[in-house]
Amino acid sequence: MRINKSALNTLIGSALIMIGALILSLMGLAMQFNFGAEATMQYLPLILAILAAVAVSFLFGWVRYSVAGGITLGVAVLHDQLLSLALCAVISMAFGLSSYAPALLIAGVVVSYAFTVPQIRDARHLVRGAAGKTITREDAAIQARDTNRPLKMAVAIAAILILLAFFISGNGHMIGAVLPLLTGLLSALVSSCLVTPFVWAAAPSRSRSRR
Amino acid sequence: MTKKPQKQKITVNRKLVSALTIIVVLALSIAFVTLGVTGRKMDAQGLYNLLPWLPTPGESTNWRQALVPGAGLDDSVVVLLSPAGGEAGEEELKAATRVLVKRLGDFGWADTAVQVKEGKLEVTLPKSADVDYLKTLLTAKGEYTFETPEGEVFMTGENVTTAGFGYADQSGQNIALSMVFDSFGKDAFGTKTGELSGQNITLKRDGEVVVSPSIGEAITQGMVSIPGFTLDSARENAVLLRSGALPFALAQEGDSLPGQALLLGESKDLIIYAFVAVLAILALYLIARFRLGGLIAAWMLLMQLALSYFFAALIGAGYTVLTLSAIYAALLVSFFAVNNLFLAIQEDARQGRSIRQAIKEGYAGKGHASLDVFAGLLLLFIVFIMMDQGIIKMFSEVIAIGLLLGLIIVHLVLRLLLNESIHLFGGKNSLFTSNNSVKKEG
Repeated sequence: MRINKSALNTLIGSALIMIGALILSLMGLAMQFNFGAEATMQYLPLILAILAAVAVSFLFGWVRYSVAGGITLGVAVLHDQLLSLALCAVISMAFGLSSYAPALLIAGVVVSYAFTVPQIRDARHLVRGAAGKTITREDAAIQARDTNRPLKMAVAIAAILILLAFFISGNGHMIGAVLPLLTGLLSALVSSCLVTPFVWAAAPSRSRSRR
Repeated sequence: MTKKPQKQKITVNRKLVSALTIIVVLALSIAFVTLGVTGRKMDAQGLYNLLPWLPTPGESTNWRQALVPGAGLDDSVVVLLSPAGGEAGEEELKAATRVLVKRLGDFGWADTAVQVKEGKLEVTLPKSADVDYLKTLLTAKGEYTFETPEGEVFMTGENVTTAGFGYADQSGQNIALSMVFDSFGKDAFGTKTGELSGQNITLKRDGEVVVSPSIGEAITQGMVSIPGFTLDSARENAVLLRSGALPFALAQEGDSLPGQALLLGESKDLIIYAFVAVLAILALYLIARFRLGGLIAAWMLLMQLALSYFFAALIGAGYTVLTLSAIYAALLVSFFAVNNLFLAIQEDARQGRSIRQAIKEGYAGKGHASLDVFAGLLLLFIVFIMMDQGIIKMFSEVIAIGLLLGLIIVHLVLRLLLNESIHLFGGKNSLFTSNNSVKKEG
């Protein structure tokens, strides 16, 4: 499984942000909360929920599409959840998080799915429909990503409008309260544009061995 | 061979059927939204009252009884607590903050705040909170001891790893407080119950006797269930045991005072206006982009929103950032599904396909992607509901309902209405797409 270099660089970049956030959190600088909400923050249920999300997404993608689909959806969810958590940890230094943080972090799977699933479906469709023509899996993935761009833009703008509604009506604490939704959106945008198409292209597929 | 008699063909005025279908759905929608805003007394005496459930601006509305606001999005009450034994250090006050937040969260009050202010603790609770009912939870030190009949303390609440409560018998009145001990507690409780067989051990909270059950035999499993509690006292003790003890007992200073919403700015109605504006922008976008189809989609999104608020009120989700996030996250998925579908329809129409065929193909092709998103997310949030007991479960319940509604609305009701609107208004491309130019092959 050889992954595209730019996707690998993005994954390394995300991993560095995660490591940085982890170090800052261990130093007690990051992962700040408002109103004493740190007392309610339980990391074990959050980690278990992220693991469950990855496992269920992989199984769903595998059953519904293929192993490649399962791996892509699983990677998308894992990447987005961890990057979102890391970004939250860092940005919370300016705006403390609320007791809702674990649930709103998990809410990020909504955009991960909305951005990734149509791409997997279209890329698979392109490869299947290209009988006799020469289209590589990477080309199909890039084409699927590009054709889904208007859809992604519309959804991202709608999500930003919803976040704006929270921001303009709330005070400084509101920014911290809904911060996980913003980081979830950003992470999903990054992964769906720069990572998951190439993960899908590099993932093992039955059609490749047949050809 | 005998020829089967031909059935007489019944002619139906398809346009009339379509018009009736659309009118019925429209009337139901208007009635539902109106009820959501106004509520309704269900009988002449006013004993049964359907409360309004859609958030509307202003003080006079009573939707807040159905969708009870937390302290984040509505007025609150502020309780000032001070250490009962005099002044306390900053670290001790911070430790007390953590215990109180844990207790309130465990009791179901997630939308609260506990802050250290000038050597005291300021607790902000939702306006609807019964401060007197919560007084023990807020002020009790919560130090538990297990004592022999001679008053010897053989273990404390620190040796209790978790606590819960449940029915002790069929009466429904006798509640049992259950506790699980750590390894020290397991050994100590096992030994003492062995030694004190036939006698009583006493569980005390802050020096006061909570319960004094008699011992039949040694209890060595590291857990115990003690009957004889009321529901309130069992719940209160379980929460206090789970949260751990405060560094000191607290005393309330004066009466509770009215406070502002924790997360909102000057106006608490602004958030309602802001979300109405968001909905209006999304609707305008859909109408501008997909014309009649967009109008029907916007109508359906509004219905999903009204239904989501209804079910959120029904399950007691409360009017909080968590509930709003769940409702609007599900709405975002529906917005995605509608866009995904209409972009495919628009593309097919541009290729020269009829609108009726384009809708059919849209649902069969690209529509499956949104079906997958709905189904996958629904599955995921059902798993979260089953595996979590806290805030993730609360969020998952509301969003799962929203996703289910979205799935039904986008894939069944919207499809029905689109087909009926074609029967009624005709299948002109210009009615369903803003881009009418047909792409020529080659």
